[in-house]
Amino acid sequence: MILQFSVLIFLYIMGVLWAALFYPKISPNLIASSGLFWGGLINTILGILLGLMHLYSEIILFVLCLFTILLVIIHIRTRKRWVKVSWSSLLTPIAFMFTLFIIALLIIGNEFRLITTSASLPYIIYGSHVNHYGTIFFPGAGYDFRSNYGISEVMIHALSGFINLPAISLWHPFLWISQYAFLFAAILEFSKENAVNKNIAMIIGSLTLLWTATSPMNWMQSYYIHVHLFSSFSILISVFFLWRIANSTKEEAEYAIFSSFALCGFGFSRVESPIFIFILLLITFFNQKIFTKEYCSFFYPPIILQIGWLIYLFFAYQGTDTQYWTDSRLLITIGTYFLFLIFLMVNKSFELKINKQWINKHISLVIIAVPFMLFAFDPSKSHHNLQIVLNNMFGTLQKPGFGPWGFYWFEAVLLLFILLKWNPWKTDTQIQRNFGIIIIILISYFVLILVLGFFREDPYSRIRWGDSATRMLTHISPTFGLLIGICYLDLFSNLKKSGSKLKGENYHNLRYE
Amino acid sequence: MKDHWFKNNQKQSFQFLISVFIGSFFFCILISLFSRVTNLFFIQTTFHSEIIIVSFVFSLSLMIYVNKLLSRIAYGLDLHILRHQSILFLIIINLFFSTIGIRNIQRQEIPVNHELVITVMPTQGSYDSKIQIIKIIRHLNVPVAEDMDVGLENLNIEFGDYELFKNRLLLGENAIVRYRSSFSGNISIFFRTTSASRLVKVQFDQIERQFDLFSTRKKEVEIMLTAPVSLERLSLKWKIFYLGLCLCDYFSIFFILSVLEFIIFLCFFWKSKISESYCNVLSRFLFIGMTIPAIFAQIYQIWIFPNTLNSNLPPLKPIAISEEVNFRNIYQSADHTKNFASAFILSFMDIFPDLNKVYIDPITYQLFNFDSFQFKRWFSVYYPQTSENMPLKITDIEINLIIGSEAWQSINFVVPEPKERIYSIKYLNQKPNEYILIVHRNNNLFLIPDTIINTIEEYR
Repeated sequence: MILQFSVLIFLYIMGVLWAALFYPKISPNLIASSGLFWGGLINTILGILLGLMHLYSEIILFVLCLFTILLVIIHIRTRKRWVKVSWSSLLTPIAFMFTLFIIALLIIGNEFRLITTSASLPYIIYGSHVNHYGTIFFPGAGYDFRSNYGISEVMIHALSGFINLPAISLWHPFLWISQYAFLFAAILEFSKENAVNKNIAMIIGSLTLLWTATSPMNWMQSYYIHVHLFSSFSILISVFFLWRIANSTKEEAEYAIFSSFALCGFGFSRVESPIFIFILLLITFFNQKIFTKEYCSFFYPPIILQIGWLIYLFFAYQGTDTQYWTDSRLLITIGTYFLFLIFLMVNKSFELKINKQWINKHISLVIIAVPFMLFAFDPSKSHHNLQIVLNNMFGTLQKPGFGPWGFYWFEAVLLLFILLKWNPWKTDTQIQRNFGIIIIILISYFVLILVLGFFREDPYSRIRWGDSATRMLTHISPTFGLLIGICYLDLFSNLKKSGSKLKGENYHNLRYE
Repeated sequence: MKDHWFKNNQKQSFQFLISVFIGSFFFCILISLFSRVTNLFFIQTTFHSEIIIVSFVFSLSLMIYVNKLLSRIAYGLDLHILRHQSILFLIIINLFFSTIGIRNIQRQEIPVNHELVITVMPTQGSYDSKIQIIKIIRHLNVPVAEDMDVGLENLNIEFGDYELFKNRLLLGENAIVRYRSSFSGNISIFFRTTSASRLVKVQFDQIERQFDLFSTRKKEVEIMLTAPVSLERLSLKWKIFYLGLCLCDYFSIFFILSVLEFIIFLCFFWKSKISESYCNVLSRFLFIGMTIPAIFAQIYQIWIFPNTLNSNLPPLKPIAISEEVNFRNIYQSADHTKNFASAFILSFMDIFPDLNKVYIDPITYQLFNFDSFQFKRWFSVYYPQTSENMPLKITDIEINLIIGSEAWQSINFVVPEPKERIYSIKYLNQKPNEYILIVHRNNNLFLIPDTIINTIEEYR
């Protein structure tokens, strides 16, 4: 257990060092809470690179150490940044996270605790294969990598071979702690920026955190071996920083880097990620005016990584047709990403005149129209899928709230309804103005769940926690919680009075075209 | 409204506040009674959306009237945020959640008089239509109650030929059997038929169904019957009892919600300023009022929930692997993935995590389905192929010699379906140079390393 702990703490420190490169723009709370995620992502990217070259072995440990040393050197060379730093404010959140990890370790004790299902086995098996064969090219793996099984979780469990274990069982509890610490930190961050009373922020933050984290399906992620937790953390970070970009009137390249890199993490995690990332980039492109540095750091990394990953899936497992990614679909998606990349570059160079507002309106309509299109193609399957998803979210008519999600979505939708009904469109704060973009991103993910169900050979099966659609909802539930938490904090804080109201026309000129 | 007398009379105002709460208390009783009466049927029987809609509309109309009354009081007490739509909204929310809550409460069914009538139908042609009743079982809807055999001697044969043996009742064509009893629950009848006899009519509490016993293609046929539950079937005493029970449930939920909201209101919003819009205040109130109970409920659920993977609800406690931590034990900890391929692969990985080649005896390959999808996904990394491609040929007799002369270590795994079987993987504590050979003897799969195969001469 101590060896597992050491591995994760090493990843955490590496992640913190990476995130700290963007200090003071990124606050210590956010750095400390997202450290493990970044550590995991760096390990995934470096592991994939070594795996592509058939070099994955103890070399990964060496490379990770080298990367960490490099980060330390960068920090030393840019030490001017650290002169005016309040070390207590910087180290307290890190110490707090360490304390939480140690408490979790003490609670878990010396036992190997987890939940596995048939859907967990590929991660454990391929983790071992990567470790022992030193590559990410395996005969047969195409069935999994082209299906719902992402490589990010595999790369974490691949490390377990170095400590003679079949899997890293502490990864999930620690990442779960990090995710909800991040959610809390995000709400505090918002309160600081908008001069909200700290006590109110603490209350709202705690309530949002507890409400989201203890909902049955989210709680289960703290020990269920699957890629869901990493995926949900990716979306949470990405959407949060995207929201901050949207809320800011200045150029926010650092936020853009965080948002896009987190999106890359999602890209390595799920079968639906190429579509979701594309939709998110599209929505962002047409919704906002993007500054030069944001443009490069937000759009290019996920597109390039997606193209790379899809090319790997195409060539490494050519002919392996799964229900989602066949060769032809992969080619179409790679082509679409290439075209989008070219379009972005052309747009950047020649500043094309596009009626973004018009397109922005219609993107939302198209996303909302997708379920209706699915109904037109196959009414019975679409109806069945929708019914199963809704039943899993809300329970059945006979037993409302007795689905795997309990009352979480019930309350989330009701609270959202209250927000929509009463507040966001009546007042004019930054948060509320950009409420729409976050909502449409989350709706697009929900629509994506229905689309995946449509492409499945067997439709979503039944009301049960193991159903794919039910588990996929965990990807957006923390973000949904964050959205509701921040919007209610906005209500509590009376932003209109506190001076963080939009700066009128300036704001429009800067962010909206 | 502005000259309301409460405005300038604090003492009386507080007295009135208490009266309001007492009034609310009885008001809740009235509401719950009303709701229970209208909701009773869809709680008990199958779902009727019309009744929900009607009851909701009725409740809503009543609420609007009460809202006006409470608003006047709130205005007098300077409770600015407890006015008009806010009260209405809160009451509707409470009604809504109380209705959900009451419908989710497991309620004990009340014993009613059941009547079971079995009629043997005539069969076309010259076949003998005799059927046998082996037993009739009562499944009681009572916690920890065991199923009960009603006993063939308690059946009342009203018409037709019959023969009663110790353990079965043989009934001729058109025979009618009747059984009356008072209980809550379902009933199962176990029939046995001859090859030709098939039709039987069963009537259970006015619901009549005809079963073709032959069509099931089983010699012994079980038919389970569920009695429809309805309020009319209850005696007056039970009706009052049942109504009271439901009323208490509903009232409790409603009142608990109301008290909780009141506490939250006192804690957070008592001093809210008049300038704040009621929408904002209500939104905050609802956020806190909805998340706090949800958090308690969720933590309670995590605390008490059983740890089963087969449930529809997620397992809320992790499973601790108490034995040695390896792939096989991780596999064993998962409850619903027990198939041969996964079990074998994960056990195999504990022994040989990094082999380059695996040869499999052709019969073993076919018998254990080594070209199945699961093996192709996870086992292809070992490049499995039949032993015909092995560089060194080895006969069955030689394999038997090796098996007989070596001291094998063993690990077992269980595959529960289609029939529970224990398999053993037998292996030697010896690392292969390049490959291993897999052969089976009964349910034992032997992993023979090439280091042994290469020295086959010694065995000969």
